[in-house]
Amino acid sequence: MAQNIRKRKKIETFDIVNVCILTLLMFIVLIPFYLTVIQSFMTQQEYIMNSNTLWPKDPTLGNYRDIFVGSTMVRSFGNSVFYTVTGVIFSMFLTTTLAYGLSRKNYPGRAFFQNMVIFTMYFSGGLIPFFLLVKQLGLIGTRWSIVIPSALSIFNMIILRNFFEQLPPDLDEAATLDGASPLRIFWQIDLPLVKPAIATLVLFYAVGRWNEWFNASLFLGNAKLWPMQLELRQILWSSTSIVGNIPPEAGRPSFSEGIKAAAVMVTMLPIMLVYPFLQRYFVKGVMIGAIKS
Amino acid sequence: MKKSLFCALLAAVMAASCLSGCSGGGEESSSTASSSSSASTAESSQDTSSDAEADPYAEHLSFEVFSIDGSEEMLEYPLVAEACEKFNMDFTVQLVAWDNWDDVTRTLAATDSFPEVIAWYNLNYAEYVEWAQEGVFKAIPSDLSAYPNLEELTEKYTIFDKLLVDGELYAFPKIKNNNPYNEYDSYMFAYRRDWANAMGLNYEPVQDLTWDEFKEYLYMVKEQDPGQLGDRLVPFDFENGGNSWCGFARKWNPYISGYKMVDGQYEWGAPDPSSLEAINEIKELYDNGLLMTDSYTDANNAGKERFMAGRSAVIYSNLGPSILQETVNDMVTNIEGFEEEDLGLFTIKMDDGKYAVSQMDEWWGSFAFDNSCRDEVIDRWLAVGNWLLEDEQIEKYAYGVEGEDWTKDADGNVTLNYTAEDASAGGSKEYITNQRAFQKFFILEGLDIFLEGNPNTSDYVINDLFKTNMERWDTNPNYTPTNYDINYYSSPEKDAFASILSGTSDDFIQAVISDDPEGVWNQFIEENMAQAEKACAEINEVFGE
Repeated sequence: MAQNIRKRKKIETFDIVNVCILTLLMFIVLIPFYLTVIQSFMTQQEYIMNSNTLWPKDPTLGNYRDIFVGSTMVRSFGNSVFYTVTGVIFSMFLTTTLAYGLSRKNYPGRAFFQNMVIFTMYFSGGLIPFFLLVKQLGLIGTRWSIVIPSALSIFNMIILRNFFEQLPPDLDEAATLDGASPLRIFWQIDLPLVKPAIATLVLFYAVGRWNEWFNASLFLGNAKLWPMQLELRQILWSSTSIVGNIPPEAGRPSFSEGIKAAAVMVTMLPIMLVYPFLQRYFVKGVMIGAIKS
Repeated sequence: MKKSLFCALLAAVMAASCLSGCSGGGEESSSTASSSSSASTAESSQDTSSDAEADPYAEHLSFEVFSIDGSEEMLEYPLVAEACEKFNMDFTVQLVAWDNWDDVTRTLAATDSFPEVIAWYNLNYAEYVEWAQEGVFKAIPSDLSAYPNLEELTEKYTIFDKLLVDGELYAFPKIKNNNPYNEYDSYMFAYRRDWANAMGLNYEPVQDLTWDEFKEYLYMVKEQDPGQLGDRLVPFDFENGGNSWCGFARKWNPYISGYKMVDGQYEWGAPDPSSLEAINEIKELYDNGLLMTDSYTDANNAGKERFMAGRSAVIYSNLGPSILQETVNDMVTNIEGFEEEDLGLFTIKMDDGKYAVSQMDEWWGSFAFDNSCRDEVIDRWLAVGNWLLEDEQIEKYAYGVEGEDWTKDADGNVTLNYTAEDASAGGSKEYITNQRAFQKFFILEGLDIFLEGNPNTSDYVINDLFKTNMERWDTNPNYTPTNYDINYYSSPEKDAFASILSGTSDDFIQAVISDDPEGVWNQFIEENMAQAEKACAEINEVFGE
């Protein structure tokens, strides 16, 4: 028994090489991240004079202060949370219902609707028709212009449809024989069985919503409705424009590189905090989605 | 059957949810790109025609402004509030993110979705002409006599004539009031005068040097390291490092990224032997460690930031008066013991004994009116612009509220009742900074810098440095004016060649940092000569002599 354990613990050359390569990769990923963290706590003077330092001599929260000065960042953070939560709920509603419908073999016109939906994944109308559509729907300048027009990802829907298709039809038949309605079968039997896929898609949608800025810049002229990503871009612009925007009496311009680093941290942290809660589903979901048995 | 019904039910729910979202949009649609209020106001304008004779601003106007600047608090800023009250109007800002300006502008133009007023920031001439001809804009009245301050600008600056489309002006350029002394641009050499003194050189605030003397100075700085910075010392910097080199090369070849007239015909400027001369001169600086090794990748004013942080001995940069003042202020704050007089300027004579200078950029951006814009809004907007150009208003946006934020004595000396901290973001007087966005709807910058008694500027910076530099250049200039005719001329081959011209800087950098600068540069010339000749043929058809 003891011999077996020793045998299992034997470290081979492959393992050493593997660990070395993975450690190297880890550093390649972590070092820029670490330097960004450090930079976000540095003053402009220190960054320019000693940009390769591994720890700031006089750490400052000034870059974070410059981002959060005034109420706009807090407001835009709230907007981003709204767009993410509302958007994910709406997107998941559309995705699950459409995927479930298209996974049912006896759905009349299934192939037609499926092809119509998939067609939009390959061919889009382009920016101008998209804008005109949103304008004609009366969504321009409203929060819903961020939530509704890009609510459904066909790619995500196909992933989920494949999950539903993998469920044994016997389950539905048994539930029907027991008197369950279609809605109950969908909600209480089939949906819980695809939980890993749903968690994965929630993460996909949430990351997409959180990082959304383009549609907001196109459809939202009222800065009160802007998500955080768009507000951050505007702050970065203010910090890098030194001509004419900041009068001499206002003192020195902000440290643009430091603000950029701080902005990266502010943007990343909230979504990074969500990831651990979904990780166990996420890995499982991606793996299952990759193989259709 | 039940399942089919269920699927139909789900489809109905989806449709209903979409429709409910659409209807919800009505609440907040006031900030949209549309100009829905125009019809109702137009009707009421007839009724108020008699009132208008007595009070030209009797009718209250509300409109929307498309801009890169502004905020929802804007109407509360004292200067803006005063303008709104005086001219009986209010406006909302349809804000666009700066780096998505082009996409949004093009989308709104293509879908006829601009609000009534467009405070246009990055005016692309070809697009401007195309859109003006397509009817996107309403022309600015040709008779501006009711707005004398605006009219004066149109007479003073050459750009206004160049922006006429079929005899009409569709966009009013935002003038940069950077240099009242002559027409030269403000790219200048600033140097650490304290370091020159430390090396035993008793240099003037504006020291005159030849190009060779300048290079000797840089070698001396590198050898003596007057700031004791060791490896961190950068003897000579450009505001954007390598990305500024090609612009600097215009001191040898003003036409390096454009066209030059030779015997009545336009030719591509880059093949001129003076380009290689410029490459070799900059390469000498680069190879001898007078420029920072990695600076050819610089962006976002990285070189300027090094200078302001105290790493560089000399900077070549845009140093218009407001920027120069700001640079001095910044260095006094950043660098221990640094005083205002420790910054100086170099005027450099090139090998022909002249100062190589170019025409200043007169403007950047403009304001325009959508084709749906009401005439009353155009009139009101122009009246506000005219009013803002009055000295009294310039003082207000420079210093804040008179009596509260500042006072002026009998001699014209202004005293500010606030600190720099108060006027910065988050401070109690931040509106003094923020209300500049309103002024920038009309004029870009520089109006307040030359105000008499302005406590925000120093006599040393404005007169001893900037003015002296400009006046010295005027004694013996090798002046290159901007060729607006060629720059704004559009034809298929010329437009196709434009991307090559704008990419000249990249090839210039490649040549400087390579071991075979001549080979790299000649290859660039050979590869693009055929396209250049096609472009020149089109230009010469129209402008050739």
